[in-house]
Amino acid sequence: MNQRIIKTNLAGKGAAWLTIFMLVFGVLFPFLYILATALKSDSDLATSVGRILPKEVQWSNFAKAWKLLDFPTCFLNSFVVAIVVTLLTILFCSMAAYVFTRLEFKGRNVVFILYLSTMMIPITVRLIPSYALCKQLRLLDTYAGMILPQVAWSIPFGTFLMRQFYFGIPKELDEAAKIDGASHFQIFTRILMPLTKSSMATLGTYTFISVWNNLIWMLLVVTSTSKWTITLGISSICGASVVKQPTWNLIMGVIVIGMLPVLILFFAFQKYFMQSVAATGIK
Amino acid sequence: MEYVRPKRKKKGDMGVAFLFLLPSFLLLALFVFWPMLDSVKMSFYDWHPLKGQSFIGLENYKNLLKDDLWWTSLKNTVFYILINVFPIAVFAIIMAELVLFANKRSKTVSKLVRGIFFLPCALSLVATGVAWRFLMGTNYGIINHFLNKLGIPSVGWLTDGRVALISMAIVTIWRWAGYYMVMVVAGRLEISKELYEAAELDGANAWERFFSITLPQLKPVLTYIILMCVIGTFQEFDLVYTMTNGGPGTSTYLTGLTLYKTAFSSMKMGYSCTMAVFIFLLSIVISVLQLKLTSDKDA
Repeated sequence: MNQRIIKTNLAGKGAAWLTIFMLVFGVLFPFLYILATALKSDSDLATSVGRILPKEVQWSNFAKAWKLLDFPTCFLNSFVVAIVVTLLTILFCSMAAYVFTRLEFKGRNVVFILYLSTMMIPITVRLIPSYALCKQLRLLDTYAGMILPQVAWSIPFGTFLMRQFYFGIPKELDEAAKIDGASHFQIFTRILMPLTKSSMATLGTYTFISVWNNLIWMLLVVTSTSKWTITLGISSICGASVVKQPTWNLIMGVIVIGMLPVLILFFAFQKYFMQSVAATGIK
Repeated sequence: MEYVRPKRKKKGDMGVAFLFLLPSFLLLALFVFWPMLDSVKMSFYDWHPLKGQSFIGLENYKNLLKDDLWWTSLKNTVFYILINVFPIAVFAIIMAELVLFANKRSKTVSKLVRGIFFLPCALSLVATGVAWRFLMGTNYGIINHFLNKLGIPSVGWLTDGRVALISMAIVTIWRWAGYYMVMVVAGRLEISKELYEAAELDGANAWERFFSITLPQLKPVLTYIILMCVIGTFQEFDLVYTMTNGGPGTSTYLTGLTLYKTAFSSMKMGYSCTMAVFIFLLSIVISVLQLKLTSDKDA
């Protein structure tokens, strides 16, 4: 009896590890294949469908891929837009979270529900009028037009998240400061903001990656190539609607270069990114 | 004195609250609330970006009801939801269980595995779409090559209209399962250990423990994940745009893409607002249904 249990246990463990291995392989394979393809020569590409590794590593492909797109401009635009949206989102959502956890006034819950009400509504619903509004305000093809709507769209989720974190900070701390005569502004900037640094990093990482990866809004608001972001650049040279495309090894080179910054960021801030995802699931 | 103080405090809070909420509220009003109201208004207009706008009453709605492309894209979207949401939830649960299982052996391995599972969602949908277009190529793609090696004929992943949506669902599952796994892990760690210990004393095996404890306890997290996936599908755009651009034929037209093309290729902006109102009403219905489902559990 005991032995049978041990046996099934062992088999179960073996199956579990095998499944882990298979899933890890399935998830990683596309990444490895992208990289391997980026390093293949043109002739290698034509003859090597089944051979995963390149016959001869062609580092020069990256130099060629680099010339396909104005990467410095694209990276700079993506970075400026993502970092400004992130900082404004963190600041505005922290301020809102302060109101919804620390201040008492009539109608607080109504305002809070108003803030969250749009979280579950697809972004497509407000896309066209937002575009028309930006056109009217002469914000098309400007950084303001690329940034401000995206801050607005990050607020419902961000406020929800920061409010959760603010609830976790004991109120006694700001009560004590209040007795010492601190104003709300001082309590917010001197006590709560320093105490929620890791929460801000959590929201920040999430916002940065989503904004960096955004395509649809950039497609609408940007018209000149000097404002291209990296997603816009990639989709402009090898999206499904582009007729004349570079060879696949160069496309993969473009993808590798394009994903490098966000991948580095992802590994550096992985912990915070995961926290932001985890925090939204538990209600 | 004691009566005056709280009153004064409340008034003061109101002013501070106003100041603190001002920036976020202005932005919400400008780029969230106003566009949504405007969507509703413009859905009754013929609105061409160059020729201007004119009120046409219910004309757009009448057209929408008999618009084949719209119904096709709605049908595609529903089919797409049916084939990707459930597998995402299942894979998320499997991944979460495996990560927690590995955690018992080695924290380092578990962390590494979790990081790998989570990795695809850092990649933009644009890059994901382009890369998978290559993997799924009918003649040059590695996936068909593997299938051929196993004696299975090539599949027209993105060239066969009957398969293209399934191919996109595979990519979507690949990208999102690890993302939602993190939520499942968090929900799983909230479940009290005593429940499992009691079940173990009663002689329940691993499967029984999973179905009688883990799954019911995860219900709130899972309903949330399903809702997010459904809403996500209605705003899906980047992936279709870079992978198939709607093709072959209209087989991968999803509502988001149809709305975009109606506004910016056909220049019928009022009509695309009618589509937006349709999606808006649909998402409210879905949210209410979800709310009903979760509150049933509490009752």
